[in-house]
Amino acid sequence: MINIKQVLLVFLALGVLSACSTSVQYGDATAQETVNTDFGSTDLQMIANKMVDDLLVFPPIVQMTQQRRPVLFVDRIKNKTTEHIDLESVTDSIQTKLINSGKFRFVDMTAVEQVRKQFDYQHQSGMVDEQTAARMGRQIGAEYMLYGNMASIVKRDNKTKDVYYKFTLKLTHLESGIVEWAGEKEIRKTKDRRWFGL
Amino acid sequence: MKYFSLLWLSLAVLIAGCSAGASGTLQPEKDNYEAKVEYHSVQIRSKLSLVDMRQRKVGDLLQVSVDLKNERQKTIEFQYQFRFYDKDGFEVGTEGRPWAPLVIVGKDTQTVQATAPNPSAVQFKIAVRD
Repeated sequence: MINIKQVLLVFLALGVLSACSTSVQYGDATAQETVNTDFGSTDLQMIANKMVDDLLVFPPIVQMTQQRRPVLFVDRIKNKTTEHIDLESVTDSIQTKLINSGKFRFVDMTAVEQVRKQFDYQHQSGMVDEQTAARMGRQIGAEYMLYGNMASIVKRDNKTKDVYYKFTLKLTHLESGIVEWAGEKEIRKTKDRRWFGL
Repeated sequence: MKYFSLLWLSLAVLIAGCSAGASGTLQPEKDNYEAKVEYHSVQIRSKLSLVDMRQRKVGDLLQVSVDLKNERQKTIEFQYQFRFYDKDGFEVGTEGRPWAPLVIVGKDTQTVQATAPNPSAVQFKIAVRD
């Protein structure tokens, strides 16, 4: 005869087991992410797309890239928000899209030290055939610089948290100092605290 | 005099024909609008309609613009994603174009636009979901 104590124990054990179960799933990397109001993957992708779309259709840029592929370098994006955001990943996405558009070329300032080491190896180690070694002093100088900043305004009360992000990107001609193009993307995210789904 | 009139008339017809060809070739036909939208649910299909679309070449890149109308009285929230295809139907630039959120108030129309990731893109679609 099963008594009520045993039934309760079985239910308790099942409850503990189901609470402990975990699962891992792959998801769509482009899906909208709204876990919280912090800067997320959807924000990053929206910013990169907006910047690239705007830059590629700006008439002077269209004219400039019709016959040649100007060389750019990416300076850092200033983070003026209160969050820790990896803004290099935003500029990496922008850089990748611009290269793949076939309109621009880039020099990678983050790889300068590695390139120098490779040059030293090719020219000073005695291990590399001189005829095949990359020649020094023949790198191409960047014509334009991409840089910008990211700002945010956060407001909250007992029920609501409102976050406003503004990302600004500029393309400056190095020789003349003229800003040839500037783009902006604004994002607003609001989080409401609800009780019992009301 | 008669010859001059004929010459002017031919010239006018020629100019009109050229301008219509230059501006008309890229625009999608109205009947073809539904083929450009991929509704991911019956619910979103009943709430949203594509009322107009335009496309043009900027340099050698395809730029598209789509007018979406909220058919309901209430505000709707949904997501959209542009997809570009080359002449053989292969998707171009598959990585990193997000499902972008959009809010349209009741009975309002909003325009969304996108630029193709590279010159090989000649076709596009817009996908919408709740």
